[in-house]
Amino acid sequence: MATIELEGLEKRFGEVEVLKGVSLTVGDGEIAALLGPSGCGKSTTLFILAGLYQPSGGVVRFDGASMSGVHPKDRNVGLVFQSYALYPHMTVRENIGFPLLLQKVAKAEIARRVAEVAELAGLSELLDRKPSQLSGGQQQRVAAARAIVKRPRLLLMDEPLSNLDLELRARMRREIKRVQRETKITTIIVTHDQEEAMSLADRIYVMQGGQVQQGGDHRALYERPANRFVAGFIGMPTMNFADELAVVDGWLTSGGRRLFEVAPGGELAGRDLADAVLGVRPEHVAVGGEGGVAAQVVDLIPEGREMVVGLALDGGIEMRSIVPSTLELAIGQAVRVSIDEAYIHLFDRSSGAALHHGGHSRAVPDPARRP
Amino acid sequence: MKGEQLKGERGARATIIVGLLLLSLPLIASYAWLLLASFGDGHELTWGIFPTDYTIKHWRFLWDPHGAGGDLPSIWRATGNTLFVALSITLLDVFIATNAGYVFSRWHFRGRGPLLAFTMVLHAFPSVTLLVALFIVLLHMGLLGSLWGIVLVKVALQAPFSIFVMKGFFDGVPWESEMTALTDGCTRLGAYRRVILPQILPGIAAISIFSFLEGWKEFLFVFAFVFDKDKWTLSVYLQSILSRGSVVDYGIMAAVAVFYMLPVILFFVFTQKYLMKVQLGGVKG
Repeated sequence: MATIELEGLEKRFGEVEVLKGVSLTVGDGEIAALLGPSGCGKSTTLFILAGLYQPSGGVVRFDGASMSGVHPKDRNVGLVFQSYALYPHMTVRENIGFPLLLQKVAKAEIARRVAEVAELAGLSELLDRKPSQLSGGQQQRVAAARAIVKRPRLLLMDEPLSNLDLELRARMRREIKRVQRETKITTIIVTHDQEEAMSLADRIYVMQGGQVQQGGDHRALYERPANRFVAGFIGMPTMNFADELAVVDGWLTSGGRRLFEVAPGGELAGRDLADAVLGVRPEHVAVGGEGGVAAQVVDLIPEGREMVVGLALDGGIEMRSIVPSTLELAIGQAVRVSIDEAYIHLFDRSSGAALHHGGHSRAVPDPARRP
Repeated sequence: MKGEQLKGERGARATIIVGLLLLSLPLIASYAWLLLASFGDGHELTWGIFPTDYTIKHWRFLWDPHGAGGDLPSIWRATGNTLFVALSITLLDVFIATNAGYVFSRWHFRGRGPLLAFTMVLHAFPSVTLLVALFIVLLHMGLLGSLWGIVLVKVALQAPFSIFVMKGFFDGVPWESEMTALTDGCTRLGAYRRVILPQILPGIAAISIFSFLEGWKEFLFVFAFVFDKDKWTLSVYLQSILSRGSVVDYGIMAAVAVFYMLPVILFFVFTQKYLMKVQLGGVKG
């Protein structure tokens, strides 16, 4: 168990700059997620934490002590790979006991602790099997059990659930959370799946282009995205964006087409919108009623309880809305669409930085500690 | 319906087996002739292959040092030499191929690809073309006439193939496996020994078998580079029986040939399952 700090971490592979100054902090006993698209540097960060890669610059600290030059074996870190990387020539029992064997723990003690961890991971019945005789979910548990048996200071998981089917993934998520609560091991999970990050982690670091874009809990990321990338990456269906903004005759327009009527004295009044991009979450695009602008339904994607509606506003602005599935809609149908000014976001067109968060967003205190 | 289908399949299978048997008949017949001839007495034969009288006199070289002819050394001496050559080649080859295979598989150094290709080219030369060159090299190294010279030459020619096979096996061990071992508490060397090595054992077994057989059957280099009868290996020993005097004693020749073959046959029987894995590892190379 430890507090983990990364400061200005850089990594180059030849000419390629994979990490460009990553700084973040994970508190003792917390679960943090590094979330981002593939190639964003999240796995590289993880392998630097494990000591498998040497950083080209910056510092890694465990409980304030620099890990520079510390061999992986001396870091007391548990690592779970996406592929599990079980040792095929060892039984489940030998796999889990391997880290203890290397620490020269007494045989009886190894047996006791392997049994304990196996119980925790629900593997007691499988100890004498070989990895090839296990299902994906079982292999995943063995990998996790092997990683925590030595009671590491830090548990690192690289896309731990992405090889599992949907139902199993949901169950393993709950189990990882349960085991982590019981063991209180500081944990960092790398994932490209925002749902996974949100359901598992106390704190999420969204990464892109070798940098941390924003760190915070799931509400902060969703309601107060620091920039356009985070706004577009977090949330399904994704946020709607519109540019070429102007206020004409009391209406906000995008490329000359109307979006919504600007409230006098509201957030938008008197704001220079030339360099701004509008962001609206699909749930804040209301379909039906009398007000708003005219729109046409161009796409319908049922998702069970809800339905994603593709719309063309005022003859062309593409937006998506999410409505109850019970709403009677057909493709080609003409509808009225209202966007609530109170819930909009504005981003700088060139830098992408957030300029304004509307509505309820302001009511939430910002728990995000920007690194 | 199903029964009929099965019957058809069985018929097809029987045809295949009979066909294969017929095709291998010349091979089977020659081995059978060799075995029978080693126990046959006189020149009378039934059906052209079965001797009328049987004897073990051709086999007396096993207990009589001069059993194969007064001018030849003891067969046990030649057997010892052959074993020495085959085992030395095996040990050296395995040592070189595992280390080089690991480096080729795991390290991405400049010129890795061309070097690997070049290694394969080395293997492509027929031994005969190198005979004179090797003679000169061995002469200058003072290894002419020594079995060590044979061992070194054979290893040099055998190693490229073995390296290639071992690289394939190392490629089959995931990077993650090694990295997990490091975080589990292994040193780099410990990870190699405890995690990687057990996973490439079939590869080591396979190249051991190949290089052992290469050493066991080597004739040309021993014939060309070794002059002392006491250093003969079994292949040269057998050749000398065939080429001495004007009349070849087929009985003794057959007995020595069978004696020479036996270890190889036994070896194959016990190691077949490892040999089968080579393709599996080699393909990924």
